[in-house]
Amino acid sequence: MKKYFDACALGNRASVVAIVNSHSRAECITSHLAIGEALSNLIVKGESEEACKQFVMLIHTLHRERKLEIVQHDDVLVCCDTLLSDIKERLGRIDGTDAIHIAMAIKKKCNEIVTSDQDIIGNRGKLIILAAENGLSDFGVHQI
Amino acid sequence: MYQDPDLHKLLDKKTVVYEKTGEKVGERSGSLAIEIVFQAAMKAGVLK
Repeated sequence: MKKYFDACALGNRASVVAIVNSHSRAECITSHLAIGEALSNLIVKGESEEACKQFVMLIHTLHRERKLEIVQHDDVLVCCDTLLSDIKERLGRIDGTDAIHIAMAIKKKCNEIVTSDQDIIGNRGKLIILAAENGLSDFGVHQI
Repeated sequence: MYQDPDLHKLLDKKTVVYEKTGEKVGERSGSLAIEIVFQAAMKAGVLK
């Protein structure tokens, strides 16, 4: 089971526990964008410098200990503009950031996208169809 | 220190001593390092 963790998921206890309990880095994926978003959210919400530091240490340690793979977006932004366009067109109420997360999850052949984002969760049915059309027959949205 | 009952697969704690900051004092034990940073993140309010 391969899972993509968006920014919401990186700030969620249950999600991080799932990452900790994974068997290898190949099971849990996040991205440059998700980490940047999650850290930015802490800053914007006025969390302490210590909280921001602990978040960075957490992600750093999960990656170092081979629990979490961190991917960049070049593949999606450069090669999959059709997929991004499809996502935006067919999911309607979805912003660019969420569309990139979804495209990453599909591009990296994940079985699940882990999120609490209602815009993604609310489009679960359309997403499953879209993923199936892109070769992922067992794709799902895991709500946290 | 925060104890999370779901962290059931944290492995050996056989080895080394860590500072609470996660700074390595001796040789690393990965699972223990993860537990320390997880607990610190919970305490700092990073994980909801």
